[in-house]
Amino acid sequence: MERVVTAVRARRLARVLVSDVAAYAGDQVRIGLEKDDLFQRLSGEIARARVFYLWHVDESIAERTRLFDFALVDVLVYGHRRVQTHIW
Amino acid sequence: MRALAEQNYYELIEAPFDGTPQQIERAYRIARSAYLPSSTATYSLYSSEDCAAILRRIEEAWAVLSDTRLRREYDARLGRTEPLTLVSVGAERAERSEAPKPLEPVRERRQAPPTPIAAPIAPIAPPRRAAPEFDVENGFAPENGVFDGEVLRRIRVSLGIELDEISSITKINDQHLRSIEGNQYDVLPAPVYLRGFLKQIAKCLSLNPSQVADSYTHRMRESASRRP
Repeated sequence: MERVVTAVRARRLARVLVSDVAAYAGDQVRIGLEKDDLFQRLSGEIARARVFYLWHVDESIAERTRLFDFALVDVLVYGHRRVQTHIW
Repeated sequence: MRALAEQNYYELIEAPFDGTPQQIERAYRIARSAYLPSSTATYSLYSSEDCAAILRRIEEAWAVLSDTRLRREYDARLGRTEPLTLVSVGAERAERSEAPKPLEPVRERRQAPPTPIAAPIAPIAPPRRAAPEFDVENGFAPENGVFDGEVLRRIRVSLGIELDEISSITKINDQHLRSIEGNQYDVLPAPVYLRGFLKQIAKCLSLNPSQVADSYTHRMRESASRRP
């Protein structure tokens, strides 16, 4: 894989990786939101995705870490906003 | 990073100056898909007008860089003096008709991968199928031209395509897609359907459909024959 040197590509990679975490986790995202332990529950998968992301995204992208965190919130939380939970 | 308007065509589509026609084409397709109205990568970064303007520039870039003569002239205008490693037009056409080459592994980085930030893996009560692991060191390179589920997933991720996007384009159930990428041969559909699915996935990933279907089903048969 080529180095990711633009914010647009970094953002896309982050979203793809996080959406894969959600896709392969099955019901765990819903259960994690219901029990308010989503990030602990998926910590292993998220850590692996983050390592992969940081490995391939160039350090010159100032917001690269935040882009991954934004993707986590966008995909895992906002993407499952219809889940009935006491969090919201 | 320079503003988009100041970037030359190579920078715009993130292609190497001395890239082969295949590399240029791949870079063009990735850049174009990033700015399409349906793209999830840029939906909140640019307005639709900005995206349209960028898309026009990307199409301009493709029109120039995909034509050997125009590309030489453009390179000359950029002031490049070293010769390009372009193949002749005939060879270029032949090359385009071949199956896309596997993605290059990442070799330039020597330092250790960053330490995971999140906490160690917590035990999870209900067992579930693990996602295929990524090989951080080797990136997305298919080994020996063998397309198994993990290689297909790596290529998909490297192209920035989500599983849902593949599912919506091909109309293949995402459960089947996960089974294919996870090499879960026991739960895959009947071989005749599987070949069709694999060919559709390969098309989405700009791979040779027959090669992918043959390689994957061959691997599947090998796995079945090893079982007691």
